Amino acid sequence: MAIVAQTTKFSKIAWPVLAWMVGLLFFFPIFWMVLTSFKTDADAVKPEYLFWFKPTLDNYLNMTENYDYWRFARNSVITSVFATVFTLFVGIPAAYAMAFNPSRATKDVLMWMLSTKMLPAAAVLYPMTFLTKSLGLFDTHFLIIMVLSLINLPIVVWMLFTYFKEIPKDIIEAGKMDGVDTLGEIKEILVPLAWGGIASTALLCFIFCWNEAYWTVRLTTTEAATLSKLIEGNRAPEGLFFGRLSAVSTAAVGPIVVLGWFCQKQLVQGLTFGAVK
Amino acid sequence: MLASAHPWLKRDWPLLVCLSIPAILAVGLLLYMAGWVLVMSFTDLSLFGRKATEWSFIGLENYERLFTRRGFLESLWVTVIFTFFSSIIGQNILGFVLAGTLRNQPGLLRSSIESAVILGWVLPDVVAAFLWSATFTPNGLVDLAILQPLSIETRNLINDHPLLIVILANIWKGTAWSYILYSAALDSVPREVSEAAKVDGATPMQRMFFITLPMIKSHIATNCLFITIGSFVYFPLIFALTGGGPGTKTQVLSIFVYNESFSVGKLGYGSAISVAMLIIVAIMSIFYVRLLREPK
Repeated sequence: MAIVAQTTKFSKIAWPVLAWMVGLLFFFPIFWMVLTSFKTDADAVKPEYLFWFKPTLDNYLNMTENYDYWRFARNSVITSVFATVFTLFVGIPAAYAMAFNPSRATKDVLMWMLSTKMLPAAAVLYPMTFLTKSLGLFDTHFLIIMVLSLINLPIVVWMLFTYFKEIPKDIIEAGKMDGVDTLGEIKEILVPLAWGGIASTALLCFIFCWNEAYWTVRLTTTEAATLSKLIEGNRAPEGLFFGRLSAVSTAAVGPIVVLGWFCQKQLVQGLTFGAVK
Repeated sequence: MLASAHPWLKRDWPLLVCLSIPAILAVGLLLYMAGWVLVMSFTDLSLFGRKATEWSFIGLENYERLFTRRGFLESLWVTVIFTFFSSIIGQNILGFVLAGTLRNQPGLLRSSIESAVILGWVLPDVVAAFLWSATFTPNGLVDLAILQPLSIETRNLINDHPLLIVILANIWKGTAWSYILYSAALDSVPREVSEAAKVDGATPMQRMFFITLPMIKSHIATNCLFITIGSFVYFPLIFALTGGGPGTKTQVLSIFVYNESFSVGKLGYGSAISVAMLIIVAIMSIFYVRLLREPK
């Protein structure tokens, strides 16, 4: 008995300490990046200025002339917003059809969708580039929006499907009895009922679109280039331009971090998407 | 079944199919691309030179090369090490330990650490790559905070231990997923069962191994399925951080495909590697799905 009591006392202190340490380790590089973004490029590589330094906003103020930040940011916003809207627009009806008229194929369709994640993106780059160039779509917003939608559609449909499954079929059927047609059902009954699920799906989709760094980097040059391309294109070997690169990286992830932070709870719920039931 | 039980549901079938058409088309397009890759893998198509236009079918030659030429097997080995240590060992276990530890902790502790872990996950891969290279490069965080104050000679840590750093980076990036999934899984275990075992005198370890783990077995399999696939085909962070180097030390299969196809220019061979990857991942998935289907 005594041993049990001792171990619990020990574990009451040890586990939280361990958890704090893991949390700090996870957080520290990000914290340091934000800190560095307020240093000049010269101060950023001096050990004595690691924590104590004269903060400056220059890196942020010069972001436009150093990196043309706003043009990339605008492209990121346009492509992510439209791609999210479009994905939901296509995904909601599909998920509705699967959730309320399930057939034997439903499970297979879900598996097929998962399988699209198995092929390495590098394999599809050549056909993709070939197609887009021959259609004259290379480096356009339209292309990036379509590609982002295409990539995220499987996971969006899957998430929506698990949310819709939770809605009692009786409610939908009651609507049918009252003579509401299918489109009406989706608009008037389904969307209001599953609003929370749709919102977290949209949020997740937006984050994925914003973060996408394979296709957006390789299918654009200037016109539709997003923040991912900007960051990918500017490295900091051996601490060169640490200050300004930290600033532009911080600015690039700012919107996503704020969004993720506000919606942490929905995100956590949304992510488990019925894999856990 | 549902349709036959409620005849009025039948009415909408054509419309429902119409509703799904855009989604089906999208998935169809992806499959079409996959088909293109399959066809390319049987040809000697090249990105530049004569074979870019005058290519021909060469049968299984590309697939033979997988085993006769250096590269593929080595790269497969790197990928297996990377996937095993970063996802199965790293993300999986760390995620589980965090989920188990934090669920009994006060709200502030829980939500701060949760935020820290999730923050890494929502960061774009390219920014994560910048962070990690900034941490380990000469004049980077480790150098400034530890090596220089202790007057240890500055080294390029990414060149010294590339695979280790890439694995750490992937653990940092992906643990949130396992953590979230396991938190939800642990919530689904009824407290009474665990309490009852406690009353019977089971130690925390025993409760963990004989009660909790068997009860969430299917969640463990689901999680492993996702993170194994995710890590096996992972590309952006590794590519941005090391580019597969130095040499071929961190050249996982996805980077090998990229290099063979677009640096060397052998599209046919690159496609064959992709198909091989697809087969490996599919086999792993079937294995996990079998685990999932096992009767409870």
